[in-house]
Amino acid sequence: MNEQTFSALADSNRLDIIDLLLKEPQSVGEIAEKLELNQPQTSKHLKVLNEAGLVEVQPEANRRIYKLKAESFQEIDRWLDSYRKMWEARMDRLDDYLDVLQGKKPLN
Amino acid sequence: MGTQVELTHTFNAPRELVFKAFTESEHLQNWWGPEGWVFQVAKADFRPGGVFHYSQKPVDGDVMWVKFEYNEMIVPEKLIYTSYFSDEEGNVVRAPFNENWPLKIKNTYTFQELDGKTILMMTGTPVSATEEEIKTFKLSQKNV
Repeated sequence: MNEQTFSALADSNRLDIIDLLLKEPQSVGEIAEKLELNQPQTSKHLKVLNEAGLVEVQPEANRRIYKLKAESFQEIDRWLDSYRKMWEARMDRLDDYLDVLQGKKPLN
Repeated sequence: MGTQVELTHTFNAPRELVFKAFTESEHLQNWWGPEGWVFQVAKADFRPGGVFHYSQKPVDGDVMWVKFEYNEMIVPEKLIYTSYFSDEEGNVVRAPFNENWPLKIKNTYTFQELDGKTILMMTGTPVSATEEEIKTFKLSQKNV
């Protein structure tokens, strides 16, 4: 995961594509139709997602099927998880500190 | 599907006090960092366009520098800043403990008062670095 991953996800159309691909792998044509985008636009978004390592392509007959790459999403999850844990610990510390400030608890 | 962290927490304290705890060095150094870490403020300018630059040192670890750039501040309701790990001079660096950590994170806080308590809603969103920052970052990596 890198900067590219996050900028790739900072776009509502691309997030919609991810949501669609969460259901099942599908082709550019199918994605374009469901999101009411034109095919070149859709291809452009898929290219960004592909370069960021978020999706991969599998040729199937004469179609190219896009699917999510699980590893990238696990990395994002790990970041979200560690960030959340850091914040939960911080909120607990502030709870205690506010108690001290308000004289509800001695400073230890 | 998104990449942001959202948290809500209710503090048993009035909003003015909670807001101060987030925007005054004397308060921040008492709770921001994990217990036992040495926290030192290098620069504190709590206003839109201002920065907060500090270092923190774990008991058996190396010093880490962190910098906030304040985007918005409405006392005592709202606070938005961009945070990143930095060097001593304030240049952006990769998180020392995790190479997958985003370079910059945009933090948005809203503080609501309800019956003497404060409800804090916080979101943390990775920000994509500008090309210039990426270039600077890559150059700094080469020099390591």
